[in-house]
Amino acid sequence: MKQLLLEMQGDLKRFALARQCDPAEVDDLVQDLFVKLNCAGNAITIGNPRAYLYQMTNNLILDRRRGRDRQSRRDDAWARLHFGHELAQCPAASPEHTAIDRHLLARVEAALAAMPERTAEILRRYRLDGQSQRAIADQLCISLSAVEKHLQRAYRVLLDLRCDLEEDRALEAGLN
Amino acid sequence: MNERQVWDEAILQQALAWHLRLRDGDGDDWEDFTVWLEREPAHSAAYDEIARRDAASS
Repeated sequence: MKQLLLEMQGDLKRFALARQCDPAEVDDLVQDLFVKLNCAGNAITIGNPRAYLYQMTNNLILDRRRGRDRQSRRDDAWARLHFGHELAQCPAASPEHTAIDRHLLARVEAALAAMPERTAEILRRYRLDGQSQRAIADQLCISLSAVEKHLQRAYRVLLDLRCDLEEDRALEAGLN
Repeated sequence: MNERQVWDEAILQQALAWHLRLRDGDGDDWEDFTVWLEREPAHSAAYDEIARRDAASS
């Protein structure tokens, strides 16, 4: 794996630059990757090592950016919503937030109910069961691009609702 | 804090498609993604936004 990282350094740096990292950050990222791989040792067996290294790089970038703009972590009516995540202790929500959360939850449920059954089914398989798009296509006997289209529609609805929630929050913050 | 970024819907849509494809993507998918990112600096920001919204939703 370390050998592969050496070979892929150029590709990964190019990727990091394309992700708008500045050159100093790019070098930093590559250092991080070496450290992480050292820690992981040979314990990991990976189906697709090249994709894995890209994924690691991308996750490091996302983590750094997330740390930077410290999103409030307690937007979690959302988490409760479908996908069955238990709420890790979230600080007591204000009544306003709770009202907004409930409202959102209702909207997410409505949105899921409004989706064509096939779309909702594909969303569940992909997101809850963690099936790959290829596996879903094979099992449902439809094309990969059909699966992509269903997923894009479903995610679009969910992510737009997410955006609405943030707007509600911003509005609320403005009122207080 | 109340400033809202205005997103280009077409680019967001493409970023979403990449986000979905890459979860189970192979090395070639990541290379193609790199090429898409290089095409336009705004692509990376749109992808960040999609990834952020998705992470906040799970």
